[in-house]
Amino acid sequence: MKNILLKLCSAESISGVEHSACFAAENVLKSYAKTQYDINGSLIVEFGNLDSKYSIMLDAHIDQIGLIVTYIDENGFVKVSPCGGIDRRVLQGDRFIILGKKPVKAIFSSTPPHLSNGNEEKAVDCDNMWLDTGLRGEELKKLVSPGDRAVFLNEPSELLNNRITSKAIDNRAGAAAVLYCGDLLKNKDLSCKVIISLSVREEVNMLGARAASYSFYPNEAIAVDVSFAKQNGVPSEKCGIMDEGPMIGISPVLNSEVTDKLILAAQVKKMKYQYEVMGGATGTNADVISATRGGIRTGLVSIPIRSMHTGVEIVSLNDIAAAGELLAEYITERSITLC
Amino acid sequence: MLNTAFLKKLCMTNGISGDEGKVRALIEKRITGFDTEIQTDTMGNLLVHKKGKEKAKRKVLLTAHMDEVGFIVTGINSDGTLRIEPVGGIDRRVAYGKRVTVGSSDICGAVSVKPIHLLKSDEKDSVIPIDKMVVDIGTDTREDTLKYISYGDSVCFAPNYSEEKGIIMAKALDDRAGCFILTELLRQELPYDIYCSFVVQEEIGLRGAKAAAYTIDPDFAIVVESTTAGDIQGSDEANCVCSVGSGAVLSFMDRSAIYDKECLELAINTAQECKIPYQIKKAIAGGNDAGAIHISRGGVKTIAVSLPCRYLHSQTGLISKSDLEDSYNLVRETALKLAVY
Repeated sequence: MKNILLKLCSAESISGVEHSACFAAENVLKSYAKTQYDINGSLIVEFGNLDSKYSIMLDAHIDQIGLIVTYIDENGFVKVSPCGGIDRRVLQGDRFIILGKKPVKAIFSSTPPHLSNGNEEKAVDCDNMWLDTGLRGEELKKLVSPGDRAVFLNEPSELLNNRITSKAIDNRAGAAAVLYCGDLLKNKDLSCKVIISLSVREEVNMLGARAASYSFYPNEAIAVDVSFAKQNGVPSEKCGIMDEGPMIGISPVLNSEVTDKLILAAQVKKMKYQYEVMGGATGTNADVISATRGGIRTGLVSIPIRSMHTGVEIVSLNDIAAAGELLAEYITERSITLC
Repeated sequence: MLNTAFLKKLCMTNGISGDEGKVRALIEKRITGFDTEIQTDTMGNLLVHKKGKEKAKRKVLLTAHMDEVGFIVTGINSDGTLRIEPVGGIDRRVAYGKRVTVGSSDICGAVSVKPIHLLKSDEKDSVIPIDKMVVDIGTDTREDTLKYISYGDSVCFAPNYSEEKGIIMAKALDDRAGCFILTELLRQELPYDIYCSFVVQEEIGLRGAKAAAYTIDPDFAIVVESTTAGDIQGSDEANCVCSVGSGAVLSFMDRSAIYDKECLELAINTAQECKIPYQIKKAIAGGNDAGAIHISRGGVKTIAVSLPCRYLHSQTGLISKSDLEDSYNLVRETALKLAVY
C-alpha cells in the first residue's frame, strides 16, 4: 500500500490532465480487472460478480490542485492562475513543475525584500502569479504553452511514525485506500459487482464523478476523500485525529443506511473510526453522486490529513490502510446480505 | 568549463549560521593536497594559504561564507510540533508551507499550514509571522518529538538542486556558489600565493569574516558572494539591482560597505581586458562580509565580485551557469593582478 501511495503521489495529475496518476493506478488494477477510461478520462474498473444486477461504486478523485499557464512573457516568466483551490499563502518561493512538451522546473516568483515595500504579510494575489524557469522567450515557448498545467514539485518523503508528506495527498490517499480495498477483495467470491471509479476534475467541478456515476449508475456508492486532521492552530471540533482511523461522514446529503452500515462494519472489524458530521454538502464527490439520475445511496469515508491544499500535505499510512480495510469489510458484509 | 558536481554537493548539504561543520568538512576535503595550508580557527572559519609558483607582492584574501539562512528550534509544543525562529533574514512568505529538514540527522518536516478551507475570509490573504509558524515532523506529543529533536536544533530548507539548459536552481546558492568558485580556484596551479577564507555566520552579522580578516591580515580582499537579482516580472530596470545572465556583478557601494575605488576600477579594467561579461550593481541594497573586512585592523582595501541570484534566502535560488563562469574568471584574474599590484 505504501508503494502504491508513493507512486500515486509522484504522478503529476492535475484537474483536466489526470493521465499520469491514472496510469500508475491502472498498473495496479489491471492485474485483476479490465480497465477502461470514460469520455472524461476517469479510470474505471469493474470486478466481483460481473453478472450481478447489484453494484457498489467506490469513488476517489484522482486529480490534484495546481496552476494553469495563461501567458508567457518575453523574459521567460510564465503567468499562471489557480487550477482548483490552491492556497495562495504558500506559493512564493516554492518549486513547481510545468507539464509542457517536456517537464520544465520553475520557481514561483517572489518579490525581493528591497522591492516588497513592507507588504510581506500579504499573500500573492491571483492576478500577479508568475513562475520563473530561467529560460528565455523562444526557448521557453518551444516547451511551454498557455493551458499547460503546473504542480508542486514536492515528491513524497517519509516523516516519523509512518507518515508521509507530499504534494497531492489530496486525494491520492483516497485513491490508495480504494486500490488497497480492491487488493483485499480481488480474490473473494463476491455476490455483487464492485466498480472502482478514479474520477477526474473533482477540484474544479466534480465532472468525473458526475459522469461516471451517471454512466454506471450503481445501486450504492462510497466516496473516498481526505478531510482535516487536527493540527496546530486549528480548532479540534473541525477535525478528525490522525491515526484514529477513517472518518465516517454523516450528513443530510448522505444515505443514512449506508452510513450506518459503514459504522457497523467498523464495529464488526473492531477497528478505530471517527465521525465527521456535516450540516449540509460535504464538499466531496458524494454531493454529486448522491443526486445522480434518480439518486444513488451514497456514503463518505475520509482520511484525515494535515496542511491540506499545499505542497506539504501530511497523511498517516495507518489511516489509509484502515480506510481500505473498512471499505473491504463493508463490501464483504453487503455481498453476504445481498446473496 | 566548470564542473558543477561539487556545487551540487555543497547546495545539498545543510549548514545554517553556527552549524557549518558539514559544509566545512566537504570544502576541506575538496581543497586538501593542492599546495594548500589549511586551518580551522576558533569560530569555525576555514583559513587557507595557497602556494603559487611565486611569492605574491601583496597579500590577497578571497572570501566566501559557508552558512545559509534557516531556522532554529526554540520550543516544542504539546502537540509535538516545533516552534522556530529565523536564523538570518527570511521573508515569511517563502517560509510558509515549505519542506524542511531538522537536526543533525536531517529529519524531514514541513512548515505546517492551517487549511485554507478553515480560514475566515480576512485570513486567506495574510501570511502569519515566522514566530507563529510551527514545523510538523509527524509526531503528536512533545515526548515523542524529544526522542528526535533538541532545543536549538537547526531547521533548514529541504536540500534541492537542478541544472538544465544553463540554469541552476538550488538551495543555499547564497553563498555555496561563492564557496564553489574558491574551491575550484584553489585546485588550480596559480602563479602567485593567495589566501582564502571560508567563513561562518555571515547571515547573522558578518561575524566569521571579522575574525578571519583579523587573522589573515590581508592587503586586499575580494568578497565572493551571491547577490539579489531583482530582474523579475514587474520590476523595472532601475529597480532590478542586477540581472541573471548578464555577467559578474561589481558593486561601488551597498549597505555594508563603500568599496575601494582603485580596486573596483582595477576589476572593471580586468573584466574589459579579459573580455569577461560584467555588470555594475544598480542599487545600494544588500550587504556582505565586506562590511566586516574593510574595517578590519587598520583597514583593508576590499571589493565584491558577486553572482546574480534570484530568490536569495528562500528554498531555491536561481543562477545562470554563464554568470558562475564569468564570476570565477573575474575573481581569478582580479586576484592575480592584486597579488602583484
